[in-house]
Amino acid sequence: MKKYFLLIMAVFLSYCTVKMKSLPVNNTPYVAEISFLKSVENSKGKLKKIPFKKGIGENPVVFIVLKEIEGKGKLEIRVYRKGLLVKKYTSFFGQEGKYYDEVIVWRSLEIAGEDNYSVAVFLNGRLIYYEKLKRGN
Amino acid sequence: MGKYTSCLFIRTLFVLLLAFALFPKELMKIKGEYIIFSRDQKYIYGGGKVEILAGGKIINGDRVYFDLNTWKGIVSGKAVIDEENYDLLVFRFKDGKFSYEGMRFEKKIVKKGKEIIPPRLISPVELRKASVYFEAKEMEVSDKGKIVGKIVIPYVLGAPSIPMKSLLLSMGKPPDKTNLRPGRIRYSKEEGAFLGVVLNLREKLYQGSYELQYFERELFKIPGDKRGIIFSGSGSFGKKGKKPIIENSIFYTTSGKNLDFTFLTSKQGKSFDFYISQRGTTNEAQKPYYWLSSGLKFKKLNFFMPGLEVGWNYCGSYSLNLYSEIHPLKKLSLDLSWAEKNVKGEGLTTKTRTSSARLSYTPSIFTLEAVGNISNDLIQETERKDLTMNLRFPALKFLEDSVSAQLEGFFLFSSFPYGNSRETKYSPGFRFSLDSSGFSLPLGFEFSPNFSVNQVWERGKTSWSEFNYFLDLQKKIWVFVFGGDFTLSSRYKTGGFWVEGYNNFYLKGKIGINSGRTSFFVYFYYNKEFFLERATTSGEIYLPLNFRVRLFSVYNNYTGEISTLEAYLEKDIRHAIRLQLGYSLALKKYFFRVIPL
Repeated sequence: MKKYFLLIMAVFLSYCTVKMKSLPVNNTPYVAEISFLKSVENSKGKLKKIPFKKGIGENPVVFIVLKEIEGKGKLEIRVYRKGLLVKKYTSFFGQEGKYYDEVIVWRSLEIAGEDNYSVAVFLNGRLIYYEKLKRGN
Repeated sequence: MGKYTSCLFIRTLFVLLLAFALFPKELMKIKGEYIIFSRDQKYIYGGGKVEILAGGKIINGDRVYFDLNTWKGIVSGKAVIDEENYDLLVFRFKDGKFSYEGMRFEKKIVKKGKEIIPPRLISPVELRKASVYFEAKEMEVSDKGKIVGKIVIPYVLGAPSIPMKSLLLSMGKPPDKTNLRPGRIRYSKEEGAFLGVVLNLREKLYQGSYELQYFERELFKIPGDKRGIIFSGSGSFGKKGKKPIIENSIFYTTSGKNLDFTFLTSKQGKSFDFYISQRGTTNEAQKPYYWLSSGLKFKKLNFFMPGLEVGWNYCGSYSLNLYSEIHPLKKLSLDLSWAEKNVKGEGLTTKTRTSSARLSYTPSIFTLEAVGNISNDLIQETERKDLTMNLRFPALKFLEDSVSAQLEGFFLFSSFPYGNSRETKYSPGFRFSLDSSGFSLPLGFEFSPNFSVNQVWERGKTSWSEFNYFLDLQKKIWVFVFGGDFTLSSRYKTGGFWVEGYNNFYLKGKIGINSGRTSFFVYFYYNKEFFLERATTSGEIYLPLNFRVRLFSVYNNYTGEISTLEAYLEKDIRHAIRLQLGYSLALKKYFFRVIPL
């Protein structure tokens, strides 16, 4: 009886289970966090994010956390106003052949106190994030 | 024979048509290197050579986000559809129809297609916080939200289970028709295992949902009833989509043969609210108890809304409640009520009369609340009076909101029979708290003090003072971190010449290394005699070749023994599996674990 049970279990497991090689693995970088802040303070390796009291104010600091990145990276932040490109900011990071679980990038965007802005983030020339900004104070 | 064949053919066709109409249709198929679905958030994310089959089209891209709540999705990276390249593609399903808007981010944003407001974007990090989520290589989504995954790893509370070739990830939304579905299967250490079926009734004149559950405890050695049945649910009589005429709810369990049920009919009009309800409860230990109640509220005038509630049971118990909500100003409200209750039970009779008032005044600079009660026991001929007043000021914030101070005053009064005389107590007092999020001190110390004081005067004579301090001090030198938490709570009573009181004192020390991804800390816990009660360690140390050592232990100084210890060597292979080799004191053995990531 035990033999039959083990045989049935073996057949069931071989049918249901899958090879390790074919398991889902994420190797594609993504934006884990993005926020538009009043400022970011770097105090001895500890980051302090200071948000706007309401919405997004003038000259926000864009704070981006990227996950699961391999090799060199070129991050480009494009700012559009009413659908037209007004600013472009580029940052470089990483080394060839190295894997980074997390990369944090922040920089100030020169945005006047007007509406109709949108931000597109490109990693190595491919769009990774897009957002229309809602303005506050 | 021919007639029989044609009849059979028509029947088969009818069944097939019915099956086609009832069963969910495939709406979309997502393939990729990595796809994650969170049941809690009803959300799918896919990354790595993503291919989506939807609306007879094939979309390729770097990653896809799909929100099952709004039926909208986004493909980002190089999104390709109909041999056209986009940076971003927003798509949606409305009434089963697929539409999309493509966007290219050049010197200006070039758009094609009807504008679609993008859905919210949820990253895999957030999706992995769900209690149940699935990672897969392929997912098929039906128009009813049914999801089938291929090459799936289910995760429950963050722990992976056996990878499966194919698995039903979500049943989707049930059809709005009467149906019988399997209920939730659940287990807890306290209650045991539950298995059930759910009957959803969606008839013209009756709608409801009832669940029949079987529970098993003996198998899991849980005390109490070995096994049994629970029947619960609620329903309503009335036309579908209209206000029900009669609502009902029921709960029955074989444990103690406990039955509770309620029937309710109510009407909410422009000028009046009205209800009649019949409740019943019965169990092994008590006689059945039924209670019929009714209420009427007049609400034509917004500033004055009186109401009456009456209740009765066949044993002669009754209740009467006359009340009024008065709102003369927007920030001022006064609730008045008068109630009489007569309860006749087995050898017990009580008769009480209660008058109460509640005042609330909330201008912008303070909040005042006062509640007063006078309660008379008409059989014992006794009276009890209570009054509570509370005056709260909004918190004041200083130093860029890093320090906040709050003051609250209160007054408590009670008068009640005490033997042959009366006992009267009144206690004015105040509460003050000062909280801070932390300051930087010279020499690189970080200091986070918190302080609160409670002061109560009893009958204007005895005074109670309570002080609570909490201080947190920390300093980091290169990779070394030193710090400590200090908690002191003091309580003093001043009565004439003597001062009584006590202090409670706790100290926690911390020493360790924090260098990027490597951290190791030892915590020391002292009592008020500066005696070390226990010490704990926790940390991870990175070694060459991406090996890690993880350690957690608790040392109890009273017994002089290590009460918990787990130490192991860990390595991730190709971000797919995690190997652990170590020792667990709880298991009292060495272990080797293989965990799919």
